[in-house]
Amino acid sequence: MTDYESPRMQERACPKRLWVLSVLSDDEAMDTAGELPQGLRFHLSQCAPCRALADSMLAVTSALGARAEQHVPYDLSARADEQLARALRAGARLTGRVSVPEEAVPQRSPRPTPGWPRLLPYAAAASILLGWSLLWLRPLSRATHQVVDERGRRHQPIYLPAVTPMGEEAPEEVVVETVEGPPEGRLVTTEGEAGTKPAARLRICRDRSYTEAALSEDLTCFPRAIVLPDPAERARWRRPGPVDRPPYTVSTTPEPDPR
Amino acid sequence: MTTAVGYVTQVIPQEDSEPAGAATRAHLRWIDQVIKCDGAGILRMLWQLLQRESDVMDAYQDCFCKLAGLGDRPNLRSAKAYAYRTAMNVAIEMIRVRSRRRSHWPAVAAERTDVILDPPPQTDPSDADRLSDAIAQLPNHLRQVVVLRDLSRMAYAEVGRVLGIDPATARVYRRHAVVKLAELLGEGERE
Repeated sequence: MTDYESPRMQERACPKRLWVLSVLSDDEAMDTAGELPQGLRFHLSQCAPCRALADSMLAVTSALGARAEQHVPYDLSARADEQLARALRAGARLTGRVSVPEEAVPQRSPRPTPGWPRLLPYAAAASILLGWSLLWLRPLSRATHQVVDERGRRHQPIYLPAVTPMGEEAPEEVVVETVEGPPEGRLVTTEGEAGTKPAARLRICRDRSYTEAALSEDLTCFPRAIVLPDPAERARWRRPGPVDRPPYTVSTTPEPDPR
Repeated sequence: MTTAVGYVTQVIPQEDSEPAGAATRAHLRWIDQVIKCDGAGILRMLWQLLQRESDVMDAYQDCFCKLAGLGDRPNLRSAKAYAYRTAMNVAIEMIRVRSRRRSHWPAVAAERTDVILDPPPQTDPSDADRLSDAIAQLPNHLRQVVVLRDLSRMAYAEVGRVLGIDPATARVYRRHAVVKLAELLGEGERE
């Protein structure tokens, strides 16, 4: 045993600790012997931690014994029985509650509070909940990706939901190529000009994060939380344009002024 | 006009209940039997747990009023065991309330006082209170055994009958209880 160990560790370090505990906590063994067994007495004389342990155990047993020795006041039983009989005859039942006069209960406010202000926290909570649910149930914003071909002709806009609706699992990883044709095409968003970029690729993960390298410098106006279209729509994006018009591409510049 | 506050139990005579008479006595006959056979033992146990006459009388009354609430022929395996356990629970709850009062009331009083007062002197619990608090902190199964064995001086066979466990199990529980009590009292002294 070393000096750096705490007393608690030393107690634990003694291999006979459990034996000491076992002997000292067994009241029947103690009663029959009348005193501590000789082997235990010898060990306690040699081992300070076990002696401290024995002292604490004996203190508990002696406190319990002293408590048990205390006699009930001689008339307490009669008084308790009388009080109980009176209560039972009167039909007493436990209510589980204390009833006190109303005037003894401290009032929080001298004037009664009108009813509607109490509803304000609930209304605020409900509106927050409603807003949050709207946020998740429908797209926060729809970027209108208007596809124009190289001649400046507009085609049907494609709506890309900015967030995945609740209940739909976002794709694990979406790679969206925003270019499907010659670099001169443009994608016009409703959010303003973001420059032209002939080719851009977004790699968007399930947690809606994206890699920095994938986000083009010129596509910074894309909503950060964008989740790009479903597989059918992606296929539509990748599909080469109709034969009668050149393959289109997308960029982030606004639509050119027709004038 | 009264308002119900708190969760402290109190016996409130019911005005509409049936008057004391044959029906009431018949209704409580089984309780009379428990009082005759085990009332003294229960009272002794309460005294050794609570150590205050007023508390003991309240706990004794609460215990039997709870039994009265069970009705005419409650489906009990052993009325004696149920009475002992009920009395023990009532007493332990009283000890806990006492302990809470000791620890919380100075802070509550200071909080509700407009004038800033010196902090009230901390009243150290007596050794008897410390022992009662430690017993109240024991796990239920250990506490029941140590109360019945060490305070009520029951034999292990009797403890086993009351608690519905094997006497050997009661003996093991008592050993665990004593070790745990030593730890609890040792921690209390260190604090």
